[in-house]
Amino acid sequence: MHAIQPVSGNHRLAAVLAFTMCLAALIVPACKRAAPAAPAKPSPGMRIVCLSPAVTDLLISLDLGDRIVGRDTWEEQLPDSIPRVGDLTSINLEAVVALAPTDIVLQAGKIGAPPRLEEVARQRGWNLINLQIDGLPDVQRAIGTLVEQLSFAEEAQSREVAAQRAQEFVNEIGQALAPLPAAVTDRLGSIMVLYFTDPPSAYGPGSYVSDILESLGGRNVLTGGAWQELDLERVAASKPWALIIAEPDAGEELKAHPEGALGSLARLNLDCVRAGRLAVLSHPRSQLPGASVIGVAQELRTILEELARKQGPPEP
Amino acid sequence: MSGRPLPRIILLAALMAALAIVRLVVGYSIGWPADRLVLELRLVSVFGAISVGVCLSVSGVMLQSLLRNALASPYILGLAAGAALGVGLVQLGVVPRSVASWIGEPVGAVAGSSLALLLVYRLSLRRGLIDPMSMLLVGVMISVVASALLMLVQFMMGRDADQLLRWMMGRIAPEAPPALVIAGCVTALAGLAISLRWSRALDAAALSDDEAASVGVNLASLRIGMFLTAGVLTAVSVLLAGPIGFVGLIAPHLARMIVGSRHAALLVGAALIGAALLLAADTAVQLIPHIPSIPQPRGLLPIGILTSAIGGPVFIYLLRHRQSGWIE
Amino acid sequence: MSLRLDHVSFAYVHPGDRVVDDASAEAHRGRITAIIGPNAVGKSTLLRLMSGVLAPHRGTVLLDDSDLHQLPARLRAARLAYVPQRPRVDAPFTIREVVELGRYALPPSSRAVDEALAQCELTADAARVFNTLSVGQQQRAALARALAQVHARSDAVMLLDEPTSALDPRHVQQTARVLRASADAGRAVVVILHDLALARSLSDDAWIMHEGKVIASGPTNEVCEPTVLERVYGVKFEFADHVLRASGG
Repeated sequence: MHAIQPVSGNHRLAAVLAFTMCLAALIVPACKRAAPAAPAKPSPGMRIVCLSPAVTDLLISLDLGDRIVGRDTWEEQLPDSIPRVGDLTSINLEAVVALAPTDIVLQAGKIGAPPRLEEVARQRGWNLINLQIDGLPDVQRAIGTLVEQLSFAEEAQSREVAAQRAQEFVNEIGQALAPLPAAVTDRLGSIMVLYFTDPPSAYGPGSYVSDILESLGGRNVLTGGAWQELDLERVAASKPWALIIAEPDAGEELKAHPEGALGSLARLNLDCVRAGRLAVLSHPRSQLPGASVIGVAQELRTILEELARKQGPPEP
Repeated sequence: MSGRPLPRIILLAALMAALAIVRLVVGYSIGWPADRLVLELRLVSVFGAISVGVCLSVSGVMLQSLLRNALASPYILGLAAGAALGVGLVQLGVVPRSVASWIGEPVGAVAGSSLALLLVYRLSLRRGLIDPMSMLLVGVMISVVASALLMLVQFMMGRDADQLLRWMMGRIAPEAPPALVIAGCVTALAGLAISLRWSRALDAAALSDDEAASVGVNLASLRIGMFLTAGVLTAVSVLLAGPIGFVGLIAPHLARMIVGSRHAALLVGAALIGAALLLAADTAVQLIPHIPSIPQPRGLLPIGILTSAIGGPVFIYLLRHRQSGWIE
Repeated sequence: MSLRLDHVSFAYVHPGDRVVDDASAEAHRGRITAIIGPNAVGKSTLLRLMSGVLAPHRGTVLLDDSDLHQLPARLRAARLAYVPQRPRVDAPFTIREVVELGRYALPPSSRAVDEALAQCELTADAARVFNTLSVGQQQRAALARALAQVHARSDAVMLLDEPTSALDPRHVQQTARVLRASADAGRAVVVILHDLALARSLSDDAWIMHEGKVIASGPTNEVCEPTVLERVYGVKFEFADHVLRASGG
């Protein structure tokens, strides 16, 4: 046991003062600052707080991006002036109240909206819309739900415009997802799409990207769950015919030399890599089920066509 | 301390009240809220912070006395890890969502910490008495095992683990249902009252077991009672704010420096300091977005990160200077 | 009569390994009883059994004919004070605060505390922190704590485990005076002593312990016989100038 020094009264007082000053040091400097741009008079019309980056993406595609007044912590597309109000795990309710929204959109699925948010929404008359978007079919359903359930601030005309845009958008999706001709698909083997290389992690059946791949006529090499963490041995044993690595925002350099994206997989010296059946999926939001479906489908289509071209005509 | 701690306690109470008022003024915007709902949200935060601070620091004082170890805290004994595991299992879906709904996680937290408590208690019994050293070691082991299981839960949840990870960082949630916060406040005050009833026994329990028993302390019932109270208080704090580290360790030490070691004053002092620390941390979290010149985190900084980042170094300072008393 | 051991046995782990084995003896009011014996024969365990901290596996400890271990802790505290060999306080309490802990189960009494401090010559040091003291000072503070506990009770029992082991000669004498005064006030004082000369000069009665048994008890000058001591300690004893000395094996 260590000797214990009695603490004199002066020291204790000093401790109290030091403690108080530390707290003051935390508080005082910031109090001088002005409050953040509190919303001026709420503009009329629909004001959406969107607590999901994927749904924000959809809203932008429906030409409703300018109606968003508050966004998810992790949202990247909207201008900096739109405040972040938290995410599903921690909503800053005070910020939401300050934004005086008419509609709250979130992607809480089966879990449901946080109870306190539901309660405040009821009190304030906010229109709370909870979407569930996991796979590809959910995206089209979500578009329908949004057009149907958003308040549009009682402007019937706006709803019509949005509905029209939604119809176009759904058509665009349909076109983007149209299967490749058999001449192309017959030349394709089973494909592995990785979203991570260290540790190797790949999209399994039921995941968004795998759904897109399959609707284009490609075959996923994996069976089992939607998001799979693998190891090198499993990657080698599954003998993929081709590898596609999702690298959001990959540059032209990496797309031209996809070996650079292999990471630990380079050690495997896979047949498909030696044969050049390797590509990078560079869409910035390929991991975000939503409006990205068109872009991802288009890029995948190009990749599959290129792979088929390299393969040459099917062997008899 | 032989002087009179009352003036210092009044000073601490005034400090805590001042911080509560500061927190009422600071939020998404700075100023007294005109909107009643905003005031209500801030009040929920204030009472949440006070409840959590009181729960953590009172259970910290009890556990440190109980274990004769100044490094003991609600976290060392595995109670927080048990509670976190309980919440993790609920989120994993072990409990059906329909049953769980919003009370699922609270129930998981209490069940987890109670189970950890029961295990620590059962495994550290020696001849009918809790052996402090066994209790500490068993607590650390339960903490390790529960953390490993929690990692397993996170692994199994895969990409759905975000919410759990976020919760593990700690947060004084203004969106908590007011009824839950009121219940937390009542529990915290009840815990403080119970511990105050035992404050003289806690003083006497500083003697060796033999001496404490010979001056008339019923050590078995004191230890069981304190342990249960500390366990419930920890579960309540985890429930309200997730695992928040170091407050349960630091507040008792600061209180010893300021109001002395007599438990009657120490418990009240630690409760006030714990509440003040959390109010200050929560206010700081709210203030960061108002400071334009620093790099901004996305959203509000989790309070657990703040308390650990500040609490850790402060504790090392206290450890090296050992003014506050007994650190073996 | 005051405190009586009736065929008391105790083992810490295996019931076979008895630390105290069928011990019977009696400590009387108004007398100082010394417990004498080599290391590790169960003296401290016997004292803990008598303090009520340990419960015997067989036999009973009787306080005025009632079973000590049936008494509620608070009632027992009013009658029985115990001072271990190494007092311990796991908090930065001052001497005065430690002495006040003696009154835990009893009505607070600053007079009891003041008198106990004065008796142990600790009044001037009362504001010092217990853990900053030397072991000898801590022993004296623990004695003061016990005195505060049994203050004004002439029917109390004081149990002390080598209270002088870390004291200088002056404070050994002072502690001896305190114990004598307690006995003169009517209390039964039971004290473990290693110093045989001190035991002979201080105690009225003595219990000789050997391998967990009390092998002899009675007035000190009758019990502390070279033949008995030789059997217990395994060395030869002789009187030199009326002082009992070990003279080699």
